Amino acid sequence: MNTYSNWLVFVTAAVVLLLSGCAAAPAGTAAPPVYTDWDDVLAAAKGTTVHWYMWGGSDKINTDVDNDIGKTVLARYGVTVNRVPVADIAEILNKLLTESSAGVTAGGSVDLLWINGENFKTAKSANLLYGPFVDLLPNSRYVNWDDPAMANDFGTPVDGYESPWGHAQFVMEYDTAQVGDTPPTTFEALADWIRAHPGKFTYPAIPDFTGSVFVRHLFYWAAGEPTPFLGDFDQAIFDRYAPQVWDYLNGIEPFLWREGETYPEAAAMTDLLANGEIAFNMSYSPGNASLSIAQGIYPDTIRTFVFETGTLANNNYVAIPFNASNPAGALVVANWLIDPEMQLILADPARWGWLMTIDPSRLSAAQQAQLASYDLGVATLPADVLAAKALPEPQGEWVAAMEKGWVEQVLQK
Amino acid sequence: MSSFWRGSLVGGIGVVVGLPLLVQVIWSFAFRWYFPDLLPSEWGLHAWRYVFSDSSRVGEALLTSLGIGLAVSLLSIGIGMPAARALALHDFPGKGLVEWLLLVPIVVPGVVATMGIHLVFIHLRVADTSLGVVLVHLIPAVPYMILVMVSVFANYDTALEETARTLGANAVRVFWFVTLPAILPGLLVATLFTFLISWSQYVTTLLIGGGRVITLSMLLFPLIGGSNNATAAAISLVFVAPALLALGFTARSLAKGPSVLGGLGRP
Repeated sequence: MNTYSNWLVFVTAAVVLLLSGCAAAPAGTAAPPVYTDWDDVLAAAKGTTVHWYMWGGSDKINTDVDNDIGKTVLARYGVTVNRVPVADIAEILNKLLTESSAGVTAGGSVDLLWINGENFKTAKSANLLYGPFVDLLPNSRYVNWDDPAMANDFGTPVDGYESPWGHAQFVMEYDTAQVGDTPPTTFEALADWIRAHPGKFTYPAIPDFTGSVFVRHLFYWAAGEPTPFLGDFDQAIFDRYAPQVWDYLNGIEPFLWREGETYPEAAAMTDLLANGEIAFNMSYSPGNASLSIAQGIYPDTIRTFVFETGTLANNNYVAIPFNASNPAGALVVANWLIDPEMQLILADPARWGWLMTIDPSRLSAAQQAQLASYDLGVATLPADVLAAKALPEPQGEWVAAMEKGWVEQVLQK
Repeated sequence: MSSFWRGSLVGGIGVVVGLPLLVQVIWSFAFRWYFPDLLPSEWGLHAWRYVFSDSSRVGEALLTSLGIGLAVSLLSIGIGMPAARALALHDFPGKGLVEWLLLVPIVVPGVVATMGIHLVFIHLRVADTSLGVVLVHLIPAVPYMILVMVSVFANYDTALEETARTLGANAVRVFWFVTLPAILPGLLVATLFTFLISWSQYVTTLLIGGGRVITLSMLLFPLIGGSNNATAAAISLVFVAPALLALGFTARSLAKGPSVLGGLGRP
């Protein structure tokens, strides 16, 4: 035996002993504090830092969050916001799941999450969330919780475990230079247009969520109404409408971009439309087209429309993990997000260009006048036009079945 | 003739590396750039303004990435250099097994193991810390250090060390004046490899650093999936800068002498 191998054996043994010894050490077991009084929350939050994990793919949102949320809650409540950019919040749920199984019930690194839909369902059903906390927020009175589309997040009851901060509705974006001023606003007219203009239409490949929502619209179209998909998943109902959807999608496939042999990613769709290679894009953000024109991402010939049969709408929420180190600070931030003052900034097309998530009728007269005075931007539809066409999202199992069906019946055919 | 081939090689590398970078540079200064325009129709500084703003967090991330990368490189030397020497110059029972174990992290994707590592790190109280991130980066980094150094030591003659020892030099002086100069070019290449492996880690940093440790790749990955090409291009350029410096450095070392070239091919 030479000295090197002895050394190796020694180090290996030491590491193994170290790991096994420390693995038995208990992690934090005390759960985060529960508050019943808002003044207690404010007092506990003062001077703390909130670690807010959110999608970090937009330099504009990153900057806006720092300026309009971070700076304000620091000045008013003494709460520092540390925005943590992530590519996909599902990665953070995996981390929370690991911490949950490791028994880390307090002292976690995540205080606030930007979340909705399937991720919320996963987090809620795995008991990864702190709460219910919504009733504690003074500004929750501005939220219309009687609206089923607010009280349910993709069919999952919110039950006070997440608080909204922005509204989203699906719109189609189109290039007037290619399509003209009257876009095809029915699925029949769209199919005709696609056949007449081969290679100019496509949609993101599922499981991309924009591609997924496009396919959901076709189910609603096939059924003529959203009602069948709002209850629990039913295979018989699915089988009744699915063939019509697959026929539609397979029918247009040869006329899609690259003859439907491949489907782009959502981010690539932006480039394809900007470059005129395709004539349509789709977005969950009705203000995206106007903003993209202002940011130089889109040429100024892009406009938006909604289908006559309506488009799906949902909300962006924030939730607090079960083991958050600073739930008080997170509550303060969640409350600021639905403050009318913040929501008016959010709804200002010149600033955020989002849709207001609180109920405009609950605003003061002056605030309502401010909202009405906004210049929407060249490509954005008015809020009342959108609201009149808003459709509720189906439950998660429907989405999963539709996505699986698409892969089997469209992608692989 | 040899200088002609070397010139062509350097030129070829320059084109392969330089052209995509040139596109990135143009993108980072573009405001409107649509097909089929060869150049942007409007230029702007907004991407670089974002890079230098507090919101981008590029400054702190750059320092964090550098610190973690340096720590990973130094620890990789400490672990990998003695191991490589032992593997190259000595035979011992179970050597095949040790070699295999050292190479496993290259074969098995790090993501697979990271979940379990996260669990262990939580108990060790190093999850969500820079130390934890350094440790998890060592897993993919150390095998590369060992791979390069094994081939360096395979060409290494210990007779010089023995000569120095017989002339009265102690172990430290032997290492400093005999061993180190002989292996230095290879060691530098290996160190740069490990630094760049640490520099480009994303999933392991996210899971073990938990978002508390923000490296440059943590900022870059979300932006690449976003829709603003100009910003993504500007941050990519900041990200790729050390890789370019490393490439230039390596190329110079390669050009200097045969020791490293010999070291790269295991006899």
